[in-house]
Amino acid sequence: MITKDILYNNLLRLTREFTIDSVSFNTYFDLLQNATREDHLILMSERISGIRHELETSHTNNVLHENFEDLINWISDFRVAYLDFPNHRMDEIELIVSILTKIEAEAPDGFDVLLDVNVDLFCLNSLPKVIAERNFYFVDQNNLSESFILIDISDLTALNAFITTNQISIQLLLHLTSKIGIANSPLNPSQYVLIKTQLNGKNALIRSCISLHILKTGKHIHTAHEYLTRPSISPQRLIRIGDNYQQFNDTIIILSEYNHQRDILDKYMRLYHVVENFMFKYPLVGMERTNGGKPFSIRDFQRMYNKIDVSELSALNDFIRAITKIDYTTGTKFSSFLFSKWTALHPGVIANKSHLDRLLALLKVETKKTKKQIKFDDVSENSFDYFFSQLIYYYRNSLVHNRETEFHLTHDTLLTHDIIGDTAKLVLEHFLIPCIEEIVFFLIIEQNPIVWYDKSKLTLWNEA
Amino acid sequence: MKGIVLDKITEGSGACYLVKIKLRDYIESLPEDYKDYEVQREIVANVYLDNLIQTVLEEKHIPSLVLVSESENFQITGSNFEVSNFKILDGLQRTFRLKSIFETIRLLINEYPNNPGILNLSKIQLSKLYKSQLENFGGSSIQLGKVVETVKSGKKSIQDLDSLFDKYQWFEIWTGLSEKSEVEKMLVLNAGHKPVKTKHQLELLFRNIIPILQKRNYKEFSVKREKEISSTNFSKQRVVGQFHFSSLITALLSFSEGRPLTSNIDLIQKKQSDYFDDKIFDELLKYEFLDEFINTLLSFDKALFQHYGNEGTKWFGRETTLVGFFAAAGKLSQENESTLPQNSLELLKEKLLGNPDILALDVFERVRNSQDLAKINIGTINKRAVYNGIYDILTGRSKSIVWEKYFKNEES
Repeated sequence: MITKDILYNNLLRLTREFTIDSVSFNTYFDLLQNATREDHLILMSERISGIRHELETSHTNNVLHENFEDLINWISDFRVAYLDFPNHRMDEIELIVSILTKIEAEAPDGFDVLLDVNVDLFCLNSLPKVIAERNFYFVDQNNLSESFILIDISDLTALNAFITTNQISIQLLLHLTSKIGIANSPLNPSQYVLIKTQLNGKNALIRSCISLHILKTGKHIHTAHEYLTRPSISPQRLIRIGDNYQQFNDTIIILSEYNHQRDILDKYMRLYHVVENFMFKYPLVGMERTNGGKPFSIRDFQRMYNKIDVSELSALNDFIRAITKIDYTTGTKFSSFLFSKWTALHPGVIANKSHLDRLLALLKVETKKTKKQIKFDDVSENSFDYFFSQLIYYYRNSLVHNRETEFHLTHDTLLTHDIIGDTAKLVLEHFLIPCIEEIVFFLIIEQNPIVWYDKSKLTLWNEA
Repeated sequence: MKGIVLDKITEGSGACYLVKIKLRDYIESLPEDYKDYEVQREIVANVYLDNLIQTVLEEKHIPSLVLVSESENFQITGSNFEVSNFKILDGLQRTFRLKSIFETIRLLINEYPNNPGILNLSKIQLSKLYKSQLENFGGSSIQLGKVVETVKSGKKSIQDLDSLFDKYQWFEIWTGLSEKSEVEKMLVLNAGHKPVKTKHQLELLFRNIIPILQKRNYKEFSVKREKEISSTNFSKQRVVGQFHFSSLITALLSFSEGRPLTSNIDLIQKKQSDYFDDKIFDELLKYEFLDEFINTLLSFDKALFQHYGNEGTKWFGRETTLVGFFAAAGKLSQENESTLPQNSLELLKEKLLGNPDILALDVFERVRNSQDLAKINIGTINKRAVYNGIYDILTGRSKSIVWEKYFKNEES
């Protein structure tokens, strides 16, 4: 296509819709109820007609159009006055104008508007899934077809700024212009990528290629989900000044780091670190307390190692089971508190029960003895400790492990899973995180035989 | 154009006459280059001007307009006078609208005998049939519709229409003013037009001020308009003293902002904000500054031609050069609040004029042409290189401009 046709043809066609020569204009005009509006709309149409004549003149004279001021002013006037004008493609007009002004400002002397450009080299592909870096480009100096532009039409202000402030090559901008304002294919307010035609429609491939380019520059493609709610702590937790909290100094630092984190997945990992520390501390505290200050023997050390030399899940389960048996608040056991938090998930938070079932299946949560798959309705207060331990542990595994055979939790599967959507996130936000927060802060603030040592020193022999 | 003197006052060497002139006489005497005034722009939605046609049709009073003329073009005989050449000090937009109303009325007068059905056309039909004719003189079918309505309702006959322009209009005509007071009067009279955007306001004023300054001091100074030639093609064929209008405006705005602007792009970003920069009007639109601005343009243009020949003329004609050049001076002016803006222009001349070698234009061209156009956008790079290079000279940070450095900085 000849450069000047790329520059002007689509713009002229799109703006024609606002003149009295277009059907939609006449239909809209007939619906107007008052004479002032009618007059104003006709004035607006005559303004755009005049502007179109000037564009046509630039096209005929083979020059880059220089005066976009009238058009820009007309666009904003029209947008303000006629919000309900049907089927207009004003976004695309604005985008073309933005690109043309950039080309006009950056074109070298002797820029040839009669040059033929092979517009089949590139295609404009819509992106089904959002990339967090809204606008991005890469230009390969040696091979234009390796270049691409990612644009987000849903935010024209940001897109304008992107186009005007970046050094995108004019060649690439020309290809982009050729794809905007095409007859009968309006663009949606979403993300598009201009990329070589061979990749047309291959969304997953396109996504991975441009994602890599974006990552290379230190930017990200995912939309980070933040969890900024204050820790969930029962009002009955009272910090007693003078209690021996210093034995938790390490944990207190981790909790501070936990509060500092914003990303929900990072936060969960920090919280798990506290749980991990507590679940191995739990058997040691038990020994220390049963010894009651008697000297520690070599055999005691051996027993100590045996206690922690168990699988992580059973250590966690032992720890959780101990917690479920103690009071959350006066008269309410932790087991009952945690179970009620679980049952509150459906239908209150997650309307579709099958999504919860599916999540449990993905995480491979099972019954303890028969190793059968557990559904939402199968969970009971009696067996809750094992169920809860698995949920904590498997969430952690799905974040830490990255085995092809396992469910892998990323911002993608957390927020926009193909089947369960954002169920994993809702369970995290409304159940796991607040429940673990309650447990952790309880264990530190209230003296208890689970993680509180009785004494600060081990006795190895009797001094007296 | 002729008229009748009603009163007179004197002010220094100047005199101001209150006169009445027939509207027709005024409109038909408008100067030839009158259409170059791009006053249509931006005034479409001006309520006052939209009502002007009603004022004309109902034969009501239009507030007086202010003109200026040189004494030798203004002849008085008794209470009659004749003026052969004038400029509009105040009332440019009204004049433009009056002219288009006049043409619109003439269109109906001419059209009606052949096509009496015009009186029964709908708004859409009027627009469809006459919009291209109307566009030629900045009219609109809505104005035409109002004239049609007046005839149709029987308030005026077609014959009555013609006599509307035989009505007298009041004018104040200044004569014998110095350039300085002419410019100052123009600025005072225009300062109140806040609804108009800065850039447009600047264009209007600048367009009027240039001829005044040109007259005596800067005869070789001339300005080309967008419609005559595009700014990209301009620099190649210009002669010394000739500048492109839109480049000068962007250069002035860049001076005011103290950074290189790109007119269209900045416009897009500012969009509808009715941004009006008082600073420009308080500091830059003064006779002394504008005089110095044109003086600087001409001095450099001549010096560069003498030193570098056509290459110098080409270089100084580019918008990218002018914008970078004046943005650098503007930045310096911002940093030295105690000095007047024209002082930084004087500094430009002081540092560079006597020694144009500093500009090393041959190196500039070589470095500029060696830029990889696939990789960079030459417009921005060019502007910023000039801006930074000149700025470092002005501040004394460097004694010579190593263009490689200024072009390279941009790549990273």
